Amino acid sequence: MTTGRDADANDNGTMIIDCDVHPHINGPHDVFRYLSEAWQKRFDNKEFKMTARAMDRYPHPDGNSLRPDTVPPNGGLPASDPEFIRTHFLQPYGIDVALLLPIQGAAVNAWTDPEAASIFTAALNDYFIDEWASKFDEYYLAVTVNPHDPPAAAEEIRRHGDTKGVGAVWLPLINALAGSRYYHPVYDAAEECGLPVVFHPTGAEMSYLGVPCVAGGVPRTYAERHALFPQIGQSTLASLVFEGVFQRFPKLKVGLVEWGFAWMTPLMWRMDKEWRNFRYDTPWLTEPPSHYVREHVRLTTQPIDEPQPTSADLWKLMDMISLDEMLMFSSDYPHYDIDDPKIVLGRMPAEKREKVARSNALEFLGDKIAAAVA
Amino acid sequence: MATRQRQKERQLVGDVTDFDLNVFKIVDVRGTSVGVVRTATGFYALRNHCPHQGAPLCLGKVTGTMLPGRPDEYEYGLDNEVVRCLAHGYEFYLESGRSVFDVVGSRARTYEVEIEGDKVWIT
Repeated sequence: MTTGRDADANDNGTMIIDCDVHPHINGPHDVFRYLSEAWQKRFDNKEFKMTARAMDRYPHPDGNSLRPDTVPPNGGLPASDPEFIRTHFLQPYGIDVALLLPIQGAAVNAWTDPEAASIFTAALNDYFIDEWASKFDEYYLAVTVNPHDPPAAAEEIRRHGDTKGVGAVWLPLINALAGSRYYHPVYDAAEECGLPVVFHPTGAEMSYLGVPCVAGGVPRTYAERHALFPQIGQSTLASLVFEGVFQRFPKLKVGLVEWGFAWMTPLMWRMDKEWRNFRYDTPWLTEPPSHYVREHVRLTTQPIDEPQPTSADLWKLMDMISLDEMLMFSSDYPHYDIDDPKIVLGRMPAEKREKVARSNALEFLGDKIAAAVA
Repeated sequence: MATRQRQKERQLVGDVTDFDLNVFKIVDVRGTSVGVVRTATGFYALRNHCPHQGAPLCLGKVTGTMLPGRPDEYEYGLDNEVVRCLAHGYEFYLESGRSVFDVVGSRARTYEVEIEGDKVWIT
């Protein structure tokens, strides 16, 4: 990526952890070596599609949701060349850990064939471990698991529980809220393996039956849809808390990635108020909801809100609930709305910057990664 | 003295024929990346740096845009008078560097372009 500036990330000496980088394969053939002949035949189909956003429903207004200057020199898809990202993005900005979220795998939440979804996500996981995470120190994979078959998802997590270069689990959601007992096998396996679970949009939202959608109807435009993504983050968070997921899985850590974070302040107030009113409605919550959120949940920065004329109001909102203890930097590379690490972190008050750039994510990702980058 | 100073600071960036219509050419002006473009109405130069988050503005499209209007009405205008950033899509006028329809308060830095014969100079 061209940064358009003389990028030297280490102005203040802090190396950055980026919790949202989307690696791509250039087509299903890239993962054929992990598939049986029969599954190769199933996926070797010109109508095979790995992008969940329905282009006839939400075309990007400028025609490309991937930033043009992220195209690697070999001409493949943006973020299909791990070395190019290192030299053109990670190293110039001083990012030494990038959590990989393969969106082509998570897009199986739009699929209807649960077996195909398990097979494809497992193949992608193997590919990104072999070609990215095991070859480059910076890359840690969030293994994508199949939401249509939680026991199979749990098996996939355990298969990679000790795999070097695995840093998290990406559970794409279907039309069951995240706290539903339906997903318990996934949380059980993630907790057992010491891997945090991340939730992130897959592109399917508002485009398919059976995936998370926003309340009330179908947004008209790309911008309207994008503005409403926080709704799904809020539903995910409230469900996890009120269902008692963190009582059942006391060591579980959850990351809400790309759902925004400014909404967290009023939602914490409101959840706590409802608990004070109706503690007896969810008597397993012995502490206010905000307690469990602080203990178990982290959020990411991108796409950061930009109140005008300055970001000062955003920092005030954060301060009201000490959100700087729960926030982790994310870029969303290679999407059009990459947040520039230097700009976003540079705007942030100094006392928040290090926590958001690094230490919160190090704690979230766990000892394995902390030891590796120490 | 002023004239001498000006002559010292201006920089040759190419021949007129080097510039394809509505396509930015990126040049180095005293260490700063600058985009120079020829359109039907003239030559324009902007710093290759979006005032929003610093993305390379002049790798974006030279384009027009949708004009403000009534609900459900789309009217295209300002054809080739606008650069749209390749990142978040912020739009600036090529001529002034101002935000199109004042969507944001910040503006892209512009440079004066002079044509002498077939030579293109930036000041």
